[in-house]
Amino acid sequence: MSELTPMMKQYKELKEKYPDAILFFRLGDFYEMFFEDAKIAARTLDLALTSRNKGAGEKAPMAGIPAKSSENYIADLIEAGHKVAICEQMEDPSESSGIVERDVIRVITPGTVIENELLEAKENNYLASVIIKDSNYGFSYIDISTGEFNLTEFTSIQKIWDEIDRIQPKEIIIDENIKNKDQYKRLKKDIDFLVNSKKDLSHKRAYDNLIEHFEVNSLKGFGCEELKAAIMAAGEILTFLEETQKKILSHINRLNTYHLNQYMILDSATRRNLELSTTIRQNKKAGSLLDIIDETITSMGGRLIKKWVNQPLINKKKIESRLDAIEELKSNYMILEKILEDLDGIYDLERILSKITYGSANARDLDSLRFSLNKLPNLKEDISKLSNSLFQEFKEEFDVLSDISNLLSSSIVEDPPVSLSEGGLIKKGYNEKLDELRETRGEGKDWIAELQKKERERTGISSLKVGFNKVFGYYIEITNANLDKVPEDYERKQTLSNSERYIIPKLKEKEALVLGTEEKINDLEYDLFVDIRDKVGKNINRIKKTASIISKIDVISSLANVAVENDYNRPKLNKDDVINIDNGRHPVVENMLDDVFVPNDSYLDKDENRFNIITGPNMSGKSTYMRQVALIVLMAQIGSFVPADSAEIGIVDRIFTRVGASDDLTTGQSTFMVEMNEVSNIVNNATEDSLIILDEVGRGTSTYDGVSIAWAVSKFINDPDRIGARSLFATHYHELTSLEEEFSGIKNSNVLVEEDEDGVHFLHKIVPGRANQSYGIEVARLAGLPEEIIINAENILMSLEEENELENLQQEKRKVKEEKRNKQKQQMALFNHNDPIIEKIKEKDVLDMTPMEAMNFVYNLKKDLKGRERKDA
Amino acid sequence: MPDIKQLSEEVANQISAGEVVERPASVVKELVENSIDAESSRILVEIENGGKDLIRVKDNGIGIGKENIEKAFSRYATSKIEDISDLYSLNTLGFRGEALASISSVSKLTTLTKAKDSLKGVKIIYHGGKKIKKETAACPEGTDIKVKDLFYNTPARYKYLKTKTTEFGHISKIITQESLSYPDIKFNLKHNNKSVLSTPGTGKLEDAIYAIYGEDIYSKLNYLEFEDRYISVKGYISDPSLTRSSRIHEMFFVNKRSVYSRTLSKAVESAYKGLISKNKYPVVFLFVKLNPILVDVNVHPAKKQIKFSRNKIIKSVVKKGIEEKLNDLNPAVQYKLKNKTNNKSSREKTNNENINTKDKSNNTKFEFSNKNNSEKNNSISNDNENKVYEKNNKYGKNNKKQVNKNSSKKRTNYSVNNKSVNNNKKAVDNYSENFNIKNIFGQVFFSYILVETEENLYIIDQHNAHERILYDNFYQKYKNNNNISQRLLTPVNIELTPSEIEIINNNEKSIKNLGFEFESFGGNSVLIQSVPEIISQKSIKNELREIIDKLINEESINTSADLITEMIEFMACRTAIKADKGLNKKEIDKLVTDLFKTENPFRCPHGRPILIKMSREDIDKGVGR
Repeated sequence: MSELTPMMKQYKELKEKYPDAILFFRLGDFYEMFFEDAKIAARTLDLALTSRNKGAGEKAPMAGIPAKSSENYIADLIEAGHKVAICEQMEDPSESSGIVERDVIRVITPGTVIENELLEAKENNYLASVIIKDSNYGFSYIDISTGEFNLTEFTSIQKIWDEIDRIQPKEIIIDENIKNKDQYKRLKKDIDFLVNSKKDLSHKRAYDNLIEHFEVNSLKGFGCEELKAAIMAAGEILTFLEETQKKILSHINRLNTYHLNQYMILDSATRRNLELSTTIRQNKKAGSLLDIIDETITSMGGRLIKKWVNQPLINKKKIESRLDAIEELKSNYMILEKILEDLDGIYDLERILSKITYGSANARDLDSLRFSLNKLPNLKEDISKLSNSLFQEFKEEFDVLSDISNLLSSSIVEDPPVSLSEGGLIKKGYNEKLDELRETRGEGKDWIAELQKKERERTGISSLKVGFNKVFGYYIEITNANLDKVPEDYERKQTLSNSERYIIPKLKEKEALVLGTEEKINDLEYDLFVDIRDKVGKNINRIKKTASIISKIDVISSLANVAVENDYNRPKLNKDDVINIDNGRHPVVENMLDDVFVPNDSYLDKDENRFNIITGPNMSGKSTYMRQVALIVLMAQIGSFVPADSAEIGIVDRIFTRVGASDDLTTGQSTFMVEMNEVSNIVNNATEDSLIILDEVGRGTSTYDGVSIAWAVSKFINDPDRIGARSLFATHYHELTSLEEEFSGIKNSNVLVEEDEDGVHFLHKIVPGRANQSYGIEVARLAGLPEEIIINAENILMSLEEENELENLQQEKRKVKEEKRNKQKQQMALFNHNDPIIEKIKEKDVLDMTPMEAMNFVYNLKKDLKGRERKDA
Repeated sequence: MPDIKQLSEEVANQISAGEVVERPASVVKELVENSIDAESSRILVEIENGGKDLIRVKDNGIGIGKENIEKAFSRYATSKIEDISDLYSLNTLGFRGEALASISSVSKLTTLTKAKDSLKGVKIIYHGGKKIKKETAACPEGTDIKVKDLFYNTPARYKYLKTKTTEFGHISKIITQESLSYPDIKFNLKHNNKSVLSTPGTGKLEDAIYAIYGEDIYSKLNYLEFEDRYISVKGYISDPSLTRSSRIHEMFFVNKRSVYSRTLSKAVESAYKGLISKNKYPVVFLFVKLNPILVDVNVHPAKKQIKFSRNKIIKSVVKKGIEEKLNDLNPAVQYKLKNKTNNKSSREKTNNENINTKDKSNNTKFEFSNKNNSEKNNSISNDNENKVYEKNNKYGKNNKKQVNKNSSKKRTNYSVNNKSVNNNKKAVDNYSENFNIKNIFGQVFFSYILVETEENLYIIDQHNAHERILYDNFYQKYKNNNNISQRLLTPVNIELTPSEIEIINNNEKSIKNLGFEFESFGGNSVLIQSVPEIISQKSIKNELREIIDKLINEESINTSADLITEMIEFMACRTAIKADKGLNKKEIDKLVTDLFKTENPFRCPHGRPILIKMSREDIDKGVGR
C-alpha cells in the first residue's frame, strides 16, 4: 500500500467511506472510476476499460466519462440499481501545490434523485423507511424531488406491505428485524427497490434530528409527537439524506402525519386485482383505471391523481366537495377548456424548487418557472368564474406569485442558454452596471463596424471588410486583387486563398476592450443569476402552496374532462348503505372493447340484498361485472364521476377482492393456499361497511371441499352477527344457489344466456335468479377444441344430466340440512379418510390413462357416490 | 326485341343507391341522421381509410326491435312519414326510407341493435343487399352499424371515389354540420383510430363551436339573433378580420337541417361585401327557422340542397340582419349617422328603421320581436321597397295568418322584392369597384383626408391608406425583382441573445434569401453587411433590430414566403406616413388615387379599416331630412 501514488492513496481513502457506491473521482474534465467500480461501469455503461499506474509500476483498471455529460451515465447506473458517489476537486488545481483536495459532495441513490433526466414526470420517486419499535411499526417516506415527507404508524405489519405496495418506493431503509419476515421476500419480488439495512436505532436521536431540521421545539405541530416508531422511521430518512446529500435540504420543510383510517383501505391484493394504477399481467399503466381517468396536464397533477386513485376517501363531505367541483366544470365546457389550456405548459414547480434548493437550477429552469408563473393570473381568473366551494377555496388561497414572476420577467432573458458562465442570461435594464458594460462592449463593436467605412475611404479599397473570427479576433480583410493598396500600418494576421486579413493598432486596442468587457459581463451575469436564484429560493413555502393548488385544479379538471369524454355521471353518496347502480359500465373494459360493452344494473344493501351470488357460464362477464361494481364504488369515493347512468353509493370503508390466484413459487405456496390466505384476510378484517368481491372460492381443491368452504364462507360473510358485508360472489358451484332459500340477505343473480336455433348467445346481462347451465362446452368450442371432443363431451353431459337430475336436487337439500346440523363445525368432512372412493382414486395412475378412460373413471366414481347417497337418504 | 323484365329488388336498390349513396360521406350522413332521429345523446363515427374500408356509426338511441329490423332494410320503409302530406311538415331528418336499403345493397353491412327495455339485442348482416345472418346478440341500448367495403359490388362507383383524404374531408364536414345543428348530442369522429373531432354535447351551440374550432376562431365570432316576419335567424358571424379563402366555413342550417343554399351564401357575402377582400369568405354559422311549408327539402335525394319558396325575401332579411350586426360591431367602417336617443339605447339600430319610423316611441319596439305586429299587418302588400324593409320587423315568426296573407299576395310581394334586390346589387357594385372621385377636399386634423365620389363621402385615414399602398408596392416590387440585396455603407453591429443567434443560424438560408448578408461579430453579435432593397433607405440600427426581432419572434415561421410577408408588412407600417402629419395637395391627391387602385382599399394589411363611408342618404337621415 505504501507504494501507491498520492492520488491513488487519496482515492482509496475516499472509496473506503463509500464501499457500496460507485465513486466518480474527478480528474480535470473527467470522472474516473477505478478497480471494481471501473469494471462495473465499463460493463453497465459500455465504456472502454483502460488502466492507470497506481504506483510501483502496477496498473489499476480504470474507466472514465466526461464530466460535462455525466448525467446520462449516472442515470444508467442508478437505473441498474447502483449508487453513485460524486467526488469533486475542492480547490482550483492551478492554485494548489501538491495534490488537489477532493471530497465526495453527494451520493446519488435511486431514492435521492432530483435530476429530471432520472425521473418519471408523473411518478413520485420515494425513499421509504420501516422501523419496529416495541409492537409498533413506524413508516415514513419522502420524495426529495418534490419535498413531500410523510410518516405514520401501524400495529400490523401487513399494513406496511400494503403501504409499500401503494407508494412503490425506489429505495427503502429497513430495520434488520423486518428483513427476515416472509412477506418481505414476496414484496421484494413484486417491487424493485434498493435496500439499506439499519441497526442501532434510537428514538431520541431521531427526535432531536427532526426538531433540529425543522427548527421547531417539538413535533406536536406535525401531529406525531407520540408516534415513536414513526418518528424513528422519519429520523432514519433524515440521517440517510444527511449522509448522502451533504446539504441542508431546506425545501423539505413539512412533515405530514397521516392515518390510514382517513381513507378507504385497500390491501395490495385488491389494489392489484382491481388494476388501479398498473395491470396485473404486465405491470404497466396502460389498461389500468389510472390510465383511463388520468388526463392531467402537469406532472404535479399526474402525481396527485395517482395518489387519489390509490387512496379513495370515506368522508362524505370531502367527496361531495370534489364532486361539486367536477359537476360545475362539466357543465361549463368553455371554462373547463380554458383551464385545461391555462394548465398546459406549467412546468413541474415542485421539482424546479428542489433544484433551486440544491443550487443546481440553471437559467432554463428559472425561465420555465417564469413561464409557468405567468400563466397563473389567467388560471386564477378562470377558476374564479366557478362558484363551488372547492374552487372558491382555491381562489382564496391562490397566490399567483406576481412578485416572483416580475422579478424573473425583468431579469432572465427568454430562452436563456444552458451554460451559466457564458453570459446572455440577464435582461437589459435589470442591472445598471451590466448595462454599462454591455454598452461599452457595443460601442467597441460599433467602432469596429464604422472602421470599415473609414478604412475604405483611407485606402480606397471598396471591398475592404471588417470581420471576426474566434481564433484571430477582429480583423480587416482585403481581397488579393487589392493587396497593393494595403497601407504600411497593416499587420498581417491570417492568409486565406482569396484574401489577407490584417490588424492595426487601433483595432487591437478596441479588441482588447471588447473582449475584456465580455469577460466582466459574463462574471457579473453569473453573480446576478445566483442572486436571483437565491431570492426565489427564499419563497419556497409560497411556491409550494401554489404548486399544490395547481395540482388539485389539474386533477379535478382531468376528472371533469374524463366525465365529459366518457359520459360519466355524478354518483349520489348516501349513508343508508345502498349501492344502486343503473346501467353501470366497467371503465377500462368499455374502453378496450372495440365492439360493445353491455351495461348492467346492480343493487346491494345491508338488508335483503346483502350477498349476491352470481352464476353463469365462463366468459359471460361475471368477473368484469363484479370488478365494475367495485370500481364504480371506488371511483365515487375518489370523488370522480362514474360510468353509469346513475349511481347511489353507500360509502364503504374497505374493498376486498378475492380474484383468481396463481401459484406463488417464491414462497412455495400453492394456488389453494394463496386463495385461502386471501379469504382469511377477508373474514378476519372485513366489517359490515366493507364491500367484498369473491371470484370463485375453493376452486383450487376438490369440488366437495370447495363447495363446502364456499358455503361456509358465504354464510359467515352474510351473517350480520359475523360480518354482514355487502358482497358479490361469482361461482360455478350451482349448489350454492340454494343459499338464497336458506338465509335472508342472500340473493341469486345470473348472466343471461339465450339459446335459439342459431346456438347459444351470451348476452352479458345480469338478471335475478340462478343459472341453469354452465355452457362450459360452448366455451370450449369457442376456444377451438376439436369438434370430436366437443361432441363427445356433449353426449357425456347429456347422459349425466338425465341420470342425476333428481339426485342432484335431493343431494342439495340434504347438504343444507346437514350444514344446519353442523353449525358449530368449521368444516364439513364429506369423506372419511379410508373412504373406498378415495382409495380408488389413489390406486389410479392418471398418466397411464387415456382421456376417454379418465372420463369413464370419473363417471363411474360419480355413479358410486350417487349410489351411496341414495342409500344414505 | 328482348322481353321487358321487372328488376329484382336487389338490382333496383343498387340502382337507386346511386342517388342516395354517392360517396362515403353520404352513408355517414344517412346513418348519423338516423341516429339523431333515434333520440341519441351520443354518436360515435369511426372511419377507416376515408370510409372506403369502414364506416361505423354507433349511437345510444332507442334502437330497433328484433321484429322490425328487417323492415328497416327494405325499400321505402321508414318510421318517419306515413303519407305524402307529411313530407311538408317534416320534423325528422330522414324520411324517404331508402337509406338503409340502398347502403346495404352496395356494401357489407352489419347492424347490432337493441331496443330500449329489451334484454337482448339483434345482429343482422347483409352483403350486397342479401341477408347473410340474423341472430340474437349482446348489445347495449342503441344501434351500431358497420358498413364495410362500400361499393365492393359496384366497381364502377368504387372507381370514382377520390383519395381517402378527400373522402374523409367530406365526412368530417358532415359531422361538423351535424354537431353544430345538435349541440345537445355528443359527437365523436375517429379516422383510422384517431379522434379527429369531439363535441361535449352540453346543448350549448357555443360549446360545440368552441370544441370544433377552438379559441382562435371562437373569440372572433359574434352572436346574432333576429326575427323578421316569418323568419327567425340566430347564430354566429365572424369579425371581418377573420376570413377564409373558401366557403367551407359558411354554414347554414334551415330548421336544424344543414343545407347548402346559394340564396343564403349570397345574402351573407353581400352583407360582408366591402368589409373583406375579394375572394375571401367570412365564417358564419346561421340557424334559420321558418315554416317548413316554405322549404322544399325533397329537391335532391341527398337532401343537401333546399329550395325556398320565398327566396328573395329570405335573402334580403338575412342580409339586412347581418349588416346590422356588422354595423354594431364596427360602426366606423360603414359609418351610420345616429340620432342621439337611439345612440344611448342598448342596441344600435340601423338608420333604415330610424328614419322611417314616425315617432321615437315606436323605435324601441323594433327589437326584432313579434310583439307589436297588430297595427300594420296589412301594409306589406302595397308598400314601396323601402317600406318592405322597415316593416319587416313587425311580423312574427309563427304568425300563421301572416304567412297565409303573404302567400295570397304573392305577386306584389315578388315584384317589390325584385326591385329591392336590384337596388342592392347596384349599391354593392359601387362599393367595391367604382370610386369615381368627384372632389378631394383635403386634409383634416392633419390625419384624415376627405373625398367625395358620386354617391359617397369618404373619410380616409392617411396612415392606414399609405400603409396599404406601400404594402402593395413592396409586394409588387418583391415579386418583380425577387429581392435585390443592398450593401450598407457602414455595416451594422447587432447584439442578440444566444437563442436568437440559434434561430438566425437555423434559418440562415431563408434570411439570406431575403437579401440580408451577415456574419458573426464576436460574442452574441452579428455584423450586418447587406439588407434587402426595400429597407435599405432606413438602415439605422434600431429599425434593423426591430426587423430582426420580427423575423425571429415567431418560431412558427419557417418558409421564406412567411418571412417576406412579415417583413413587407413591417416595412409598410414603419415607413408609412404617420398621423398628425401635414400633407400638401399633391401628396394628398396621389395618396387617394393610389389607394383606390390597391387590391383592398378598405383595410390595411393588419386588418384595420382605412376609410369611413357616408352616403348622401346617411347624411340626409342624420339631419332628419
